[in-house]
Amino acid sequence: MRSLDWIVLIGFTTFIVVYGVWKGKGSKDMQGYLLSNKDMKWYTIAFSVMATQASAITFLSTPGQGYVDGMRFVQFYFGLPLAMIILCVTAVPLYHKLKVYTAYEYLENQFDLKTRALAAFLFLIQRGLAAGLTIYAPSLVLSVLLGWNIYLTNFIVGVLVIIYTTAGGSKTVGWTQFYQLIIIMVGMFAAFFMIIWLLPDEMSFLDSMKVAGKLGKLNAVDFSFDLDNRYSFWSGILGGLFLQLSYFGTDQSQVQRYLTGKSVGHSRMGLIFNGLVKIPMQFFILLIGAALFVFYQFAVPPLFFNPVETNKVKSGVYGETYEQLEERYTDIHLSRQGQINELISAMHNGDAGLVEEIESKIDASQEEIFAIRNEALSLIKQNDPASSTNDTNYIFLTFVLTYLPAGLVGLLLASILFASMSSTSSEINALASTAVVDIYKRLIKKDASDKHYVIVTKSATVFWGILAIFFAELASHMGSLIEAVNILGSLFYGTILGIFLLAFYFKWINGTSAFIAAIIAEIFVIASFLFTDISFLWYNVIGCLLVIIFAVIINPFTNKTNRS
Amino acid sequence: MSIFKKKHTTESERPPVFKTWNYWYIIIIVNLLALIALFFIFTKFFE
Repeated sequence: MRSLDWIVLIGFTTFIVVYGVWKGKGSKDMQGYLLSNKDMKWYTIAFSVMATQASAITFLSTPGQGYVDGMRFVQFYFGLPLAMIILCVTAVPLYHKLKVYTAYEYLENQFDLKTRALAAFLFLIQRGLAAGLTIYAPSLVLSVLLGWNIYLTNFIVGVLVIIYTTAGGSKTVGWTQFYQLIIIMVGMFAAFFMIIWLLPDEMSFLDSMKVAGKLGKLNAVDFSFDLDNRYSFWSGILGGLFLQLSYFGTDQSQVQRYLTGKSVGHSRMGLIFNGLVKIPMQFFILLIGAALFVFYQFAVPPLFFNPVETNKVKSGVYGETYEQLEERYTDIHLSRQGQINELISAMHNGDAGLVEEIESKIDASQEEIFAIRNEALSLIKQNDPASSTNDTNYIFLTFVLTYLPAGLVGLLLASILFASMSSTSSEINALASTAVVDIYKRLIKKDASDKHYVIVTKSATVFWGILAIFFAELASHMGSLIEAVNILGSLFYGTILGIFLLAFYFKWINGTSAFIAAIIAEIFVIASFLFTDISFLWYNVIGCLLVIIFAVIINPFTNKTNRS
Repeated sequence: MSIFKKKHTTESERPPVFKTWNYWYIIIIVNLLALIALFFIFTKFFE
């Protein structure tokens, strides 16, 4: 890192923290601290919602995904616009009308206190652990590529977020996210234009896209119906719809963002903007990865993008073999550069036969490259069975650090840190709100003053922030913890969604039935985890469906009048 | 559509630009369809 990069990084970060603390002044009561006095305009809500969803890993991993797998990941978001419409029609007016602080208050209105407390408790466990990962994941990438101390990085990011989130609550979260997302997108646009600018002079932007297409990186839509295909039109539009509905409709870190709207109209417009812009934004970030792939056809990329793992294998017993692989990899890349130049001139001349001939040569060299890389990955694994052979998260930042000029590197690093900070601030803000509104104020101390609850919420924000840093530090010690936390999240998400679907659409189901159904469903989900091999992503679907099925079965046997 | 209009559009919640929210929802759907069509053409053109 050069001095100019440090100046840019520290300058932007200081601006965000100081601005956040200043902007949050005056949030003295609960309405002000948790809902920003409901004064947010639609564009702040839109940016805040988008910044909450897009964590640092989104901006690190998505270009890597485009580089490795092409554009097809964009289909994952096809269900999002439809989810926005459904939420604008149902959840947004309902939450506003009931004047709730958290999504879980609505459950008491529909069912009873115990169902509300259960959903809030499940959210606190799930999101409390996930907040640590939001800090840890980018810190890991930055520590590997820049040699930063991972514990110190976790600590600094966490403490900065705690400072401004505690100072201003929801108002600060919303406004800092607004500027953070602008800085992030400026950084991403700058990176994209630099990639195009760094391509060889004889290659136009259209040529680069054609090469990316020929190499199978511009596969944005796939209409084939195949359950094994993770990203297709159908999985995106159907699976994506349910996923986004549960995330935006029941997760307090998102609900709290649009509850700060001046009116139902402003909240709706925030979500509508998200529905219009999210897919093009993801498409653009993936396109950066595809363009990066073309760039690396003219500059030899590392055989493996994680330098720590590379150095480990090089210094071990397989070091010599690995270096031989690197030499072969470089040779093939250099010969392929000639093939790609031939391909471009054949395309310019419109010689279809020659294009086809060169394409088959490129395919052959591509297979050779794959084979060498697979050999390298197995060497890394043999050298250390605990090491990760997924380097997707390191691809984009490796390019940034190697090829971008001073100043721009600082801007991109600020973008990555801001993406982490914006998601974390939403999370600890939502965790504190839920802990105080749904648990403390409702179950422990009901009739205290507004000032008292604001102090308790601020203390809760500090508590959840420290817990997030603690989990981030713990994750640094235990690699397997990441998967454990993801599994833990999936264990509860389906049950929470099931409870909300009962509240929205099954008006004859009473609170006791919903509560018992949720408990039984949760036991089933945990049993599935302990005693079966079902992939953890399916726990979301299983939990949700079981809550609904059990509630319908139990309802006639519970001695309660129905809600409708 | 008319159900949405009766239930959820009141004077105090009038949307910007249009008379009812339904127009915004239609724009979202049209935008989604246009993006999918565009991505399809994009995929085929560069294939």
